[in-house]
Amino acid sequence: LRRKKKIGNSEKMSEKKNESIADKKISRRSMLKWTAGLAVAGAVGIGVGYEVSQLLTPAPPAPPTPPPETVSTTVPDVYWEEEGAFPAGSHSHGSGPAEVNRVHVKNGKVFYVEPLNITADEANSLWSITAGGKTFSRGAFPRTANSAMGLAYKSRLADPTRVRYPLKRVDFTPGGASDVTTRGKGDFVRITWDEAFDTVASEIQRVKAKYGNPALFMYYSPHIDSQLNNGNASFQKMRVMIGGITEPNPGGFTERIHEGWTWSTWTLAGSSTWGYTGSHGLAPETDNLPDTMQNAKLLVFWGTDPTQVSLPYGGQECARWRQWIKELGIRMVAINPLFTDTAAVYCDQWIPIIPGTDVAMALAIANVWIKEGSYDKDYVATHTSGFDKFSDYVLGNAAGPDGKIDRTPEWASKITGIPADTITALAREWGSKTTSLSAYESGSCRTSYGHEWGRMMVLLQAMQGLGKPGVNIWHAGVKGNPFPQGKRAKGFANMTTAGVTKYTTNWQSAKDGVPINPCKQVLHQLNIYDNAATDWAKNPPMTWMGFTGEPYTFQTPKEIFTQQTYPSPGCSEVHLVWRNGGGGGYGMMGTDTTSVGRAYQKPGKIEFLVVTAPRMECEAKFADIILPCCQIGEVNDCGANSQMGTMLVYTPKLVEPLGETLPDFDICAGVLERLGVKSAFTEGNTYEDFLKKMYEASDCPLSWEEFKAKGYYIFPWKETPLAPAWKWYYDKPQGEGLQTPSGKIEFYSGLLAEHYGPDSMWCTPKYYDSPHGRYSPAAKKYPLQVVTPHSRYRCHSKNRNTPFLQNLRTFQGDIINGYNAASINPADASARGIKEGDIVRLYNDTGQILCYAHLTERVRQGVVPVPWGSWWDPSEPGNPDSVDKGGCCNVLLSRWTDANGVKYDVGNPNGGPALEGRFTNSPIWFGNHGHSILVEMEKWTGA
Amino acid sequence: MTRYAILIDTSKCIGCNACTIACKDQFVDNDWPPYSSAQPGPNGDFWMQVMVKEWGKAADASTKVRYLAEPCMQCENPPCVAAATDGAAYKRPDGIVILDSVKSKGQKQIVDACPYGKIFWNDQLQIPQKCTLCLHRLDKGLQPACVNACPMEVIRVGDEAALASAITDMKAKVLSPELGADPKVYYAGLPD
Repeated sequence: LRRKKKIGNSEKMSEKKNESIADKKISRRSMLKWTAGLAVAGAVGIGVGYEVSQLLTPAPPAPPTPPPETVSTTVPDVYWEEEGAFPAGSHSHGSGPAEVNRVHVKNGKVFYVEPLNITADEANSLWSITAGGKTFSRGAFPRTANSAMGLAYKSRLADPTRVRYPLKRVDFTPGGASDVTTRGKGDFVRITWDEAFDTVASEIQRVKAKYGNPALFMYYSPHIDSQLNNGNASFQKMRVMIGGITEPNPGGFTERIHEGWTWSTWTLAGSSTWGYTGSHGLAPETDNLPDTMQNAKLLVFWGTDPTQVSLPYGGQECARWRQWIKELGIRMVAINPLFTDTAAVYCDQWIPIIPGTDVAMALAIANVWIKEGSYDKDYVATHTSGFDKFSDYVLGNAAGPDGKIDRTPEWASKITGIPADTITALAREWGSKTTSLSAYESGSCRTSYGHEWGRMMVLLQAMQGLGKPGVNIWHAGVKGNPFPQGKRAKGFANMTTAGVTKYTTNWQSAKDGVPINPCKQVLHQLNIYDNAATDWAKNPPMTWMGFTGEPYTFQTPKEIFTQQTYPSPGCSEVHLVWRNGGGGGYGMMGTDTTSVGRAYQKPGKIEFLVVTAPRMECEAKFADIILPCCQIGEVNDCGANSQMGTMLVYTPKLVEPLGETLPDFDICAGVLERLGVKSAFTEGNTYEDFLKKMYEASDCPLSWEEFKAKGYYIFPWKETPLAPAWKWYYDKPQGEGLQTPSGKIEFYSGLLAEHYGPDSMWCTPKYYDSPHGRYSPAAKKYPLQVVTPHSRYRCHSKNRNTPFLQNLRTFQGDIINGYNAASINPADASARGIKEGDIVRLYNDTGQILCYAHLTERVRQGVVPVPWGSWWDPSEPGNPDSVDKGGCCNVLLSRWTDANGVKYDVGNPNGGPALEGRFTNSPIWFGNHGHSILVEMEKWTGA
Repeated sequence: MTRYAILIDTSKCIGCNACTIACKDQFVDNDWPPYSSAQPGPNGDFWMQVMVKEWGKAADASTKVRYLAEPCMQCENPPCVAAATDGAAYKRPDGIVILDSVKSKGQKQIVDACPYGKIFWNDQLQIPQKCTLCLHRLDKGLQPACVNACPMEVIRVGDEAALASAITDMKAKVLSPELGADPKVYYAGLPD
């Protein structure tokens, strides 16, 4: 398991590179630059043996400007001279810039960055909320509330891991016969854009001709930087062209199912309780901020930490909301194994629950309410269905041995690790006070059986009259503030929804006259690597349940039961993968990350891997061809931002693109030109034309030229009566109109009853022990529970190596001396002889990673948070025994079925034969269970 | 004459490090003579640094946390000034302590003198460096970068006389008063 030192090899590589440089007769100056760029590529290249800290050692700075001859008592004006200061989006999550800065530019480089300060008139036009006799006005803070991540803009552009030139894997030759077993291990050579485009286009044509269109698989991370508003707008549209939209008989391509990796257990929870299908089953949260501030007396954060998780959606904006809520004296409680920043700064009480046991506590709360009558019986009678069956389970009056347990706080206490008195007290407080619930974007849904927790959240609030003033469910961040009414930035999400093209981002919702994707084969996000890594896909074909397409496009709850098969009848397996983003967001997302390496290295599977990558991270290291993409600020762009209300932002090109990097629009057009379908992509427009058309599709009153000159426009707020999300439902005398079979909120799910049978255990939500939880037999060998919270300084994997964001020693998300931090309770650490700052090995049967040990009383005993998104850096990619120095938590994340097809004994909940198919979250749901990991941890003594 | 003081309300601080990054952004690669030379690089040097204080135990859910944004303390009796030779460190009439980039060359003892650990050694330039309270910005009528960037309005910089009543009302305290350096950074919201 020792990490091999290969510095010598690396030096040899450099020599080889220099020869090829000489061959190409590049000027000495560019040669030096190029060598530097390749050195960086080599440094992060797996197995090369550089320390990450070496990688981050900054280049020697330019000699300091000599002090002026005459001693001045103030800074001479020359040091302040700049080209200008421009509003600029900082980084994006899904669409549009998450945070807006004002960026000062000097000598063609970013000089410094600050939040966007706005004028007094603009500040006066922003929204406000009146509550508790006070007015809380957004405009009182006349600038954007940006995060460290947003403000690190200058440093992110200078990230040494950025890819500067198109690169080709040394061992790769087009034609399908290359050695793929060395993927991730070798080095790259610089190629021209012409060669890159030619190669990608010819490989697409070759694979299409040989295997047919289903062999094409082109997918993206939603988190690469904004260009044309949405980092994937160009790529998504390009896929349609490659799929053959312009041919008489288009063959399409294998679609990626986005569902499964994110808040996907809510999809099942939402579908089966309140019938919402869009946005992962989450219901709208309109006006929940004023509703909470005006009416609630208690705010429960159940598994949520919006102070952290909201960062990629608007910086620290919503932290200010919680400060208001605190000032109003609304009590706040955090149920979380971690003492999060939300808990630390705002909450009056911390309930440090054992991960994965939340459903037990929720059932106990319902138990108290039922026994004490402290729930809204009228609402339950008129607005819900199936309460009796739920109540029978909670009270122990149901059939079967499992049905005879009275789920009291005493019962839950033994499971959750929380004293029964604490649970009873919370239940009584919640049952007697108007209570708002923060449960979206919660870690609790990312545990085994996470959907049962989501169901319980809906049902607890239904017991308290969901929709009654102050009784709501939301993030308690990100959304729910009053937005400008009637002045939305219409259609400004990206170029396709702006109506400036007839092609939509995916074929499922294509417009009139455009056929939908004729290829019905889909690959589940969580299965992408499994299929190629094992032969399981072939014998038998893999089957699973889930809807087709994107999470935002399914229309009825029933679609979650769509049976999927891969390979689909008549379809080839996937043999060409084009990854947009290269892990720029969800790097190496798959469970058991090591299998990613095996997938890419398996002969006969993925013949060609091309990655559009801004940085040399994760999948990019395995690519045959890397297409380097430039960053926001290196190309003109515009987008919508919601930090202060609704704001449109024009981000001009501030600095020259690094090296030869290109906007992804140009990358797509370059390949399509070789395929002869570029004109369908551009539809006669230039990049600038698209920007202008997108802008003109909005409601902004400025002309395009005026908008570009000013750089932003904030839509003024017009006060209208508040309409909190569930008011409409609460106001209906007989609760109706939801997409559930009964039209009401369902305690007993008609949807699940229809699919699994009326007596199925799944019909009402229940508590189950996780196979990767505290009560699993595996916990004897691996007694620590790893949870994988978002980092405070990354948007998923983005910013992992941004220099400014290193060594910030706070909590949850630090990269310290190049290592990802694993926080551990001092009692657990001392039992293992681990001290602060030790390099530790976390391991289980799935994999092993190295981290930096941080001792803190902010985690309950038995729990180790390892922030998600740190780049995978294994000693030997593809070898399951590799040690991952990058601290990528997914290396430790096992499936319910392991890589060899051995199934965990989950049985069949319906009592029949064991279930076939692969699960990650539960026997009925394919989803994220990233907080259900068991490990042991020891001080690392290896080299 | 303004005598600067800094009032930091830890009860509002969310530990986000926006101040830290705004500080780095202002000083890395940028010279602001005569107050400061460019900070050498991204790592290690934190002219503004968010520290964490923890109390209590997870075992009984009594954990409490406060974040402390810590710049140079702008001491009234600055140990760095005492340790410097040739006037390499000096306190201005407005209370701001400045390290002279030229005179301080080679004077590593200035780093060691700071009991708060707020002076950093620039290995490339061989000089000690620290927070200048963004004097270059104050001169222009701008707030220090950390104050401008803080999303929670935690940090206030102003004349000590003007801040005095707030310091008293908020029961703000200085760190390690027993050292006798008489720091001018006051922290409100800390437990007794």
